[in-house]
Amino acid sequence: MTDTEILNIFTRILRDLLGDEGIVLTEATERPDVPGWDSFAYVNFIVAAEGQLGVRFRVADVESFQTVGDIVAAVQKQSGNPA
Amino acid sequence: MSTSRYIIVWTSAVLLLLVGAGIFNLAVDPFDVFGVRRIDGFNATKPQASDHTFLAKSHQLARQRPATIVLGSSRPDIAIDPYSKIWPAEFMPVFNFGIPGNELFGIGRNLEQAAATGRVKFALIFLEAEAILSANPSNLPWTPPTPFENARDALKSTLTMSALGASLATVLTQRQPDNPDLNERGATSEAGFRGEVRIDGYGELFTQKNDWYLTQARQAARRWVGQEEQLFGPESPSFLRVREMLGLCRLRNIKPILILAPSHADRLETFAALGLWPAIETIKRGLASLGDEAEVWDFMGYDPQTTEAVPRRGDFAGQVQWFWEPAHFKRALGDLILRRIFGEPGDFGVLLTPVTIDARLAHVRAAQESYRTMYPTMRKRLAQE
Amino acid sequence: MLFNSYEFLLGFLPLSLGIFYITGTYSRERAIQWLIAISLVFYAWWRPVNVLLISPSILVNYGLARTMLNLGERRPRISNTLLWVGIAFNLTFLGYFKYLNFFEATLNDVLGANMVLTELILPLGISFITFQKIAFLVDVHAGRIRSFGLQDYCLFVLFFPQLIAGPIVHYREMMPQFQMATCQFNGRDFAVGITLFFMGLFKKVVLADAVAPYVTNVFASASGGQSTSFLFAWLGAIGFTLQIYFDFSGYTDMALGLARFFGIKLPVNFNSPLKATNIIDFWLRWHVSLTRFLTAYLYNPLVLALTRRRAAAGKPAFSGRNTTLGAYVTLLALPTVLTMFVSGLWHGAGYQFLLWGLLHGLYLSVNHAWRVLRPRFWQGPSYQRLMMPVGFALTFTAVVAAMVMFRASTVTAGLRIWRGMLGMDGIALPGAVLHRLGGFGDRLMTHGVIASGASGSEFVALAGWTLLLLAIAWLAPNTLQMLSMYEPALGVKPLPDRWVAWRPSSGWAIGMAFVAVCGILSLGRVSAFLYWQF
Repeated sequence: MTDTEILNIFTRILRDLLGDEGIVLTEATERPDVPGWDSFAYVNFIVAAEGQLGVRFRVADVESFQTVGDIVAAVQKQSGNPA
Repeated sequence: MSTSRYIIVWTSAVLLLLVGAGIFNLAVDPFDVFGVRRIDGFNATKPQASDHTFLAKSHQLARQRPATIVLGSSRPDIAIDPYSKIWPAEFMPVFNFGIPGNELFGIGRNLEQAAATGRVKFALIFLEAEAILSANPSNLPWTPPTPFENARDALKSTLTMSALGASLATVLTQRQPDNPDLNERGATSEAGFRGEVRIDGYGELFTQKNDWYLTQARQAARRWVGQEEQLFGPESPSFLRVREMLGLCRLRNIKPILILAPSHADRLETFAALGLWPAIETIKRGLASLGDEAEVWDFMGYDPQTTEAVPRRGDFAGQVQWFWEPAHFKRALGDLILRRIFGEPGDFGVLLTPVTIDARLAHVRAAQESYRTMYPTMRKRLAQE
Repeated sequence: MLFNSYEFLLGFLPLSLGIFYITGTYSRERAIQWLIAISLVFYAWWRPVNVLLISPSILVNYGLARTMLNLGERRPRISNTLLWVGIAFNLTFLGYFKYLNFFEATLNDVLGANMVLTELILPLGISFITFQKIAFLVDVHAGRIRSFGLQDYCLFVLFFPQLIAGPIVHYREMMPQFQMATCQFNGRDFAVGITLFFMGLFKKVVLADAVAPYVTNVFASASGGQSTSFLFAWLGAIGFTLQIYFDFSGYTDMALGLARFFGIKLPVNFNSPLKATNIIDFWLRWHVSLTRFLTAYLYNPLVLALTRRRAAAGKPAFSGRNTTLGAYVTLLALPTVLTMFVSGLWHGAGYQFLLWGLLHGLYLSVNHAWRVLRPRFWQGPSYQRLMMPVGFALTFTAVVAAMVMFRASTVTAGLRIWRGMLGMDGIALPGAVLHRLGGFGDRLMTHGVIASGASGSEFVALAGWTLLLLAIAWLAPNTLQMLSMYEPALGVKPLPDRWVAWRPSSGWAIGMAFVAVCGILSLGRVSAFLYWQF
């Protein structure tokens, strides 16, 4: 899967979660950039992403992600495609 | 502006403001800690010092070296005039060390503090039933202030916001007529009460204060009733403390005069209604038993002065000659007390001794009875509560 | 040693800073060691035994962390065990000192037992220090910290500006700063430092301490068993909210300023929480570093685990508008309430703190539920227009109501204030105030307002200070905004220039000197920071 595909999936998940069709995620997006993407919505986003992409993040990593790009990289690493 | 310049300007401004505040406070000297000259219209009266009596009076005392010291609570503080013409020459100069809210053990510490000045020859110790009833036993002796404590006092009365506020208030309220003053001999003027009377009238003031004292005393009375011996029996800490004070006077060649301060009959009736009369008689008996160690004067009775009628609420013209409110007597009565002590004949106040005590107690009880038949209202009101 | 004491301001601080700057000119290493030494002195000042209590805990934590670091990712199972041993050790340490007494008392209450309560000296700041140590262990375990020595660790734990009452910092945000610090005098840092520190001092000793005695009277009379009438109850509750607001805000500014003297930026901890328009927002502004800690180390792992379990069981997860009630309860309400319960317990060993925590848990759950449900029936611009002011008022009321429990000496006393706030004990004004109001006062009395014997001047002072502080909290810009151009706290971004933006100019120097002098002149009375008790 390419980074862009993963980004598209992420965007889809977050739009559903927050009920906001205007959301567009990029690699540089940080949580505070998206209104309503609080820590709770974040955890739900992570679990939804895990479910759809068939990956599993470490709890510690979940706390470390700064940007959406970090999450994309972690997905790629787990699926064996180092970015 | 560079940040280093900013820091220099800031630091200079801080120092300048601090020094300015310090000099201003020193010049006004709102708590009379330094004893600077009082200038008319600027800082001649010191209303703020009367809110910090202990701080102010401690420093005044250290400067005054008085021959006579007046001890007690806010009652002598207001009613005993150190400049009164009645004082015999050997008693002068007099310093009034009355501290509002004082109780027996505090008075004891004040005596130690006054004795340490080394020149005191006479001590007028004003006790009132409340000072003994609410005595707060403590073994804490008075200790002379350390240089550190003196520095702290100096700092507190120059470089603090409260001192600055007090200085401003002092300067701005110089011309107000109801401004109480603490004069250099430690006496608080009657201006505060005069103002209250002007606004509320004697009737209102007596009613409010009676209510207040009643609530206060009612809570405490539960602890006191039935505890007479523990409160002031011969083995009680309070009684021993009084003896200790007399011992100190003997040691320092100070002549002690103990005075049971007068209260208005309203107040006496409050005590009686709460069942405190036995406690008061125990106190009087205890003090009478000291009769050969000290002069003990009892002004706590039903006399023409203390049973003076009080105007109704809302009556602003009516006057009271001897009292401001039930517990605080006027300087007029303070002078009368001094007259009696210094030998003027009269019926107000009795010298308590083992010989006179029984007659005195019986006399007060009889006077109490006849007062009640004459003025049943107060009694009835108290009974309803 | 309190930040707001003469000995700190005139003795400890100038001395430790002076020597730090001088030492720093020839050896960074020595300057850092000096900083650790003075931090120990600072900690020991109040009760020297504190150092003896805290030192073994530092060494154990250091040992565990080193071992985990050496194991790396080679032996995950042992590393896991060590982490849990470490967390258990720290919680036991905290529990022993802070909660043994409460635990015994609770057992006595519940079982009617008659255990003798153990009275222990609570080491200062232990709650903050414990959380910080746990965060460190977790970070080492997660591989977020690659290398550290004993000296680094001691500096991280003991750095005195944030030692007693936070902000709760992370190793990874502090250590790079210490490594970069010049340990020498820097005009820019120093100017920002004095501004922050003295603004904080002003908030604490001029604002918070001014309202404190009147608030104390209201709560003391409730503790004494007296009923509290409507206005007094509300003024007491709002007054206390503002007291703790300026107390904590002041402390935080002072901590930020002190750290800045050493060239260190602490994280944001306080950001005008009373301007929040919902309770979630409130917790992103009040005690930010605690919220951050609890979210990262308790709430998120909990929700993650619960969500995965539900996903594995094939039940629906939380998904925006389509969320089911079951998902809401297990994945949101439950962990939220639990987290805030822990927060309550952390703040104090007492039922009233637990109640405070549970209340906030409830508030947050309702807030989250609203976020899910509201879009189903109410959308569009009318929502924003209406809900901003309503949410603001609602949040304020909820925070104030909960604060009552934070201040009350017992739950019973807190309930008595709540009764009063609900108007169940009547509306009263001091007689003196009612009489001055003249005709209006009479009209009030015909509408059921009672004249009470309370002191009129005290009522006026409480009301006056409360209104003034409220105006400041709501209308004034905060220190982070004023200093945004100079990154007053870690990660603060410059805001568009406004008239309140601080800059080094003579006007600001004189204004800030005035603020500082007001603070210095108010040092006379000693009063501890409210957060130092936790």
